Amino acid sequence: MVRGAKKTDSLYESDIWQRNPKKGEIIEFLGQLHESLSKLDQDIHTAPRGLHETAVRLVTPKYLENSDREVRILATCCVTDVLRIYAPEAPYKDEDMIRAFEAITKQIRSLQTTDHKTPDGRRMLYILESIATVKSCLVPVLLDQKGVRSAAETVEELFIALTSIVDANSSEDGENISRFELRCLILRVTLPFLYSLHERLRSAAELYRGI
Amino acid sequence: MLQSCIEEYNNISPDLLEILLVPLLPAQKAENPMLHRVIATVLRTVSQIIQSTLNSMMASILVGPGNQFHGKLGELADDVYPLIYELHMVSPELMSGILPNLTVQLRSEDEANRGKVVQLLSKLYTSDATSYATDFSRDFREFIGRMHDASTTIRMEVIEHAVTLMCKGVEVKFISGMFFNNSFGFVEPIFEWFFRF
Repeated sequence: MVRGAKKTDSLYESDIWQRNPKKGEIIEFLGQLHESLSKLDQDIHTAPRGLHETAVRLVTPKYLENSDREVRILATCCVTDVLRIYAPEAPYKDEDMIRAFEAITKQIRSLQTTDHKTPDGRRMLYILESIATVKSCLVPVLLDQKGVRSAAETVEELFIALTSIVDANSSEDGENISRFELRCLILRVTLPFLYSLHERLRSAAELYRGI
Repeated sequence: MLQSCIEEYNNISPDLLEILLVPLLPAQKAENPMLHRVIATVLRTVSQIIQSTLNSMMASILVGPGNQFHGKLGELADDVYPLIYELHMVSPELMSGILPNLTVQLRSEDEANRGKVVQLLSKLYTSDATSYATDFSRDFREFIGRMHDASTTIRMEVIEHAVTLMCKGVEVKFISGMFFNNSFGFVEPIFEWFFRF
């Protein structure tokens, strides 16, 4: 926190929100912001000046629903960080919270089609791990219990997203399939042998009876 | 996360439960066995929370007034018997509200449907890890009563499983009673059973 504190402060008091910067600048800014936010602890009292305003700006459709995929992913990473820093009380209104979770859910769902080793995939995994660790996944449930509009749909979408990313070809299952295949192979190899043994014993018995 | 969210609710909504039940269906199980395993684990952990919603959902599918279901509920209704068996595998406790509604299906006029119910109940009553026959004795008696079903196939199915249950020592007195104290009604099913072999 002390090291590089000046840079961190300038990030949180940036005028980028008032300007209309190019996509590249937004991506660079959001990348730095995410890096900084991810290092902040949960003590609000020691938080840098401008954090609250930055958090509120991040949750707007301009960033979370941006036409650029990278902007959307980075903004969602930043919002996830905000949820962790402010847990259990996020600095958002109910409708902002719903928008935040819609964005989070979309990123989790994208894990299904994104290589986890790519930078985007790693960020999506970061979002998933963060909401699991901080248990901020409970926020839409609490909003639903409060009767907030579209909260129930947000929980449903989250459930669908979580069930859609369970990999059908996980290693554990692969092991079971190979064991099954191994058993089949053993049976295929041993059955003809057992059958021929049975036949030989039968002929031997018939021969014995003949004698 | 799924488990935490469900635990936060006192009573899960039917829409959420439908999302969780779909991976248990035969086609989905074959397609993604890992997801099936994950969902089974989650449902086992939250079995008490989902019980009430599950019972209402199964009641509406099995004995509800209409039989036209749409969306995910339609998918569940189409494969309701395999789904119930999966739920039994997940947690036998989940059967407490479902098994009596299955028994109602034994009185169905549709022979094919009755046959499916009998097949499912046979598997449930003869499963090793449970004691449904004693826990649901009234339902079990109705199941055993199908020894006198109009359909030969159903009679054979019940008798075959009644014999298995007798071998396991379940309600021997009652089952034998069904065989021998029913105004000679026992003769036909026993003959059928013996002539089958």
